[in-house]
Amino acid sequence: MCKGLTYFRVLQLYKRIIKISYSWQAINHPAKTLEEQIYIRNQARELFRKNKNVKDSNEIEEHIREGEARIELACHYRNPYPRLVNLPTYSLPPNHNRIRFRTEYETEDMSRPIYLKSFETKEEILDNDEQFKPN
Amino acid sequence: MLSSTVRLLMRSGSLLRPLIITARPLSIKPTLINLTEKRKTLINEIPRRWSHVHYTYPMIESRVMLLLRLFDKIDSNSLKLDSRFVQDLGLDSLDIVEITAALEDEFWTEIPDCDSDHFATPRHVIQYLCDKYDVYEHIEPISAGKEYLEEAKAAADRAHH
Repeated sequence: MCKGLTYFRVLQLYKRIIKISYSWQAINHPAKTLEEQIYIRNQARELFRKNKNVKDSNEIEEHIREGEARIELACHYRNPYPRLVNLPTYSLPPNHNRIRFRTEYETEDMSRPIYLKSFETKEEILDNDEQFKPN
Repeated sequence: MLSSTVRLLMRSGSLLRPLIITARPLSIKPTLINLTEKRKTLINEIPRRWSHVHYTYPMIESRVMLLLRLFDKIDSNSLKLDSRFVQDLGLDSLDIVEITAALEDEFWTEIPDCDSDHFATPRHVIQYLCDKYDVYEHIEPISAGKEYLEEAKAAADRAHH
């Protein structure tokens, strides 16, 4: 594997996240320190492995920025979970009855902040029959 | 990822901690850890190198092998001293970074990326740590054998004649 500069940067970022997780103290919810530590490690594992095969150097740079943004947000707000954002203006939530145009997907991709780059928008697929079944 | 039992095992060694207070660089923020029921101390006060602990080769080897066995991606049955991380155990470079971070935490030392990149087998890791702590009792000394003495004698004879 060619060991360029970005390779070491990515590994350094990963190590930084793991080090943070070892000394993480959940100030807002003191009982959930261990849970949040495990969450940080699992998220890092999952997302780094998901984006392992990205080849484009600009994309890799953006992902490194995403990692650093999440570290900074987590350390500042003492909350490792990602900040959720609203949908952009003039767009509606995905619904199986409505056809969603390509531009809506594009505006949503563009308006998502850098720290949510690795997360995909999931559409809830409900069957028509399930909606009408009695509980 | 290491299980939480690793943390307990490592902290259990803290019951014998001496009261040597040395200044540690503020690389991490101070946190409170319950060492005993009555006494709490800051993580900055814990000594970096335990002067009362004698580092030996069997001790380093057993700690490293325990750490690797507790790693959940490694099959503890197939782990040997010479099993290679990438080829035999099927680990990733990210996994090696995780192992390195755990080793740094266990041995209270720093291992730079350029060194941890070259870890191929547990034997390399143990050798690296032995070099770091100046442990060389497991290495056979190269003694001046009979052949060398004979050659030296022959060379000395040639020089004088």
